[in-house]
Amino acid sequence: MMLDLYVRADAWYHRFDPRTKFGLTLLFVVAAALIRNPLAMFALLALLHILPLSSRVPPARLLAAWRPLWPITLVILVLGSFTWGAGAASVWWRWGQVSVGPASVLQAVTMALRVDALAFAFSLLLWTTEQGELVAGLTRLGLPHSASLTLAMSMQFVPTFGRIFGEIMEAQESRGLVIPRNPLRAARAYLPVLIPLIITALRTVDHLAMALAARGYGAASRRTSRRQLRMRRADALALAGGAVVLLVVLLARGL
Amino acid sequence: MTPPLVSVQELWFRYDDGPPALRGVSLEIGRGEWVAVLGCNGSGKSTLVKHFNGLLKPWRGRVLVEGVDTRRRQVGEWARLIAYLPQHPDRIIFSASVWEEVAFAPRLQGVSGAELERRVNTALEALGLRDAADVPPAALGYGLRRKVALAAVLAQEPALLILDEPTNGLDAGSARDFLEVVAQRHRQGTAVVLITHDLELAAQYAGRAVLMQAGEIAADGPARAVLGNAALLRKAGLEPLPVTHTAHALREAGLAGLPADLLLPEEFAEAYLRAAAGGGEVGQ
Repeated sequence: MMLDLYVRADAWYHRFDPRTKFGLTLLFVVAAALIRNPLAMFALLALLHILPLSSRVPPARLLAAWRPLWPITLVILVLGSFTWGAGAASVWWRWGQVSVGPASVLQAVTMALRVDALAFAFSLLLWTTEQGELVAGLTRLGLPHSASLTLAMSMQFVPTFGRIFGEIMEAQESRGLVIPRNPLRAARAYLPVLIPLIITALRTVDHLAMALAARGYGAASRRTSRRQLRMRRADALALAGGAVVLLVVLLARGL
Repeated sequence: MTPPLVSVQELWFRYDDGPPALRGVSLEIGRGEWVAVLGCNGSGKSTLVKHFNGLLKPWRGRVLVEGVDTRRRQVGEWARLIAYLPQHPDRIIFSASVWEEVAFAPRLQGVSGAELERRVNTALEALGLRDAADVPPAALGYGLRRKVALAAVLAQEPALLILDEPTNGLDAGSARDFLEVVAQRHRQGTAVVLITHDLELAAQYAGRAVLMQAGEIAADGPARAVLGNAALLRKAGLEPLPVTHTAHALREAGLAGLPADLLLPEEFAEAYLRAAAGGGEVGQ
């Protein structure tokens, strides 16, 4: 069974042409890269929560996306606040080169939210786009079909390997493996988990390649496609709306 | 009084925000028992047994191992008492040789020297893997990888061995050989919990059967009584053994003297011959 991120629903964001969704994802990424103001970054992140929720992606999926994100967010917040420097204007605490102040905290908040926004931008694409649509969209954008399929499959296999990682972890813990708190020792302790994961990944790839070959993949010089993509008015409006928002961001940045 | 090996008390569990996967399950596993845990997919079998060594923690209720709450220790600390063989052998195999793979868990328990040699060699011997001791386990075929995985958990020398669908993907002969090795360890006092869909193997080896249905225990009793109850099995989504069907059909057709708890073909053949010789006739 192939577990993927896609949430089956006949909802407004789902119905966009995959090329539109690629375009919007690109716009979100560019906006996340350009925004410097923490409030604006927060607004972008909020938008990236509203869009999937309004397109019937269950809140549990959003919570699941937050689970691996929050430790990263916390690390960026803490490290960024201490290492980006408070500057000369206002300093709350200083010890040698290390200082904390409103400027470094705001910069750390923006960076942490940026990482979250990027993760949610790509999650939105994967929650609302079926694997077949991803492949068709990328192929229509000029990518060779084999490359589109590889990319789509790689993205869709992430949760599958996440599940297998959990199973391996359970099995090795049952044999007595305890992951130490010391990061250096922990890295070494993870070997009995990572090696089976890599072996499983290689076996899966091998089986998948054989299954594709057995079904005739690569035999025909010209592929036909059941999925006919068509840009509709809603797609044009969405892209135009996204472009306007990006323009506003660019202008606001310049001010 | 010695506490039971495992005591599950009013156990409730749910994955994330999903519906409860276990609903108020209570049972005890004693030393030296062989318990088959049966049920259709999604009935809660694996979820239940993963509580025995703390892989899952109760949402409500508690699980005690030798009287100690599983929440009090890390999973790895239960490995001296409880070994868990996952469905897929590839979930545990990572070492450069079969010998090293089998030695991994005992080493984590602090076993070394002659005792380590004894444990590993005994497990390899039991599974006929002595000649493959230096081979990388990942390079072996599926059946052999399954054997390596079993040898690896046997070398833990646990008080309880949990086997999650251990015969999946094995032919009937290999499955029987595999469970014979487990039976040998069971005769030496190891308790066994066997999750399986193969009712015939359960009938052959288990003394007790726990039938799961929608996160609850539908039946818990002698394996013969549970596996011979066709109505109960069907209600839980399982198909009774062919022998149960045939014996039932013959009794319906009028062959008197066939016991109601026949499960295995050889038992059936013997009982049929006895009933036929005793004057029972079919189709009266």
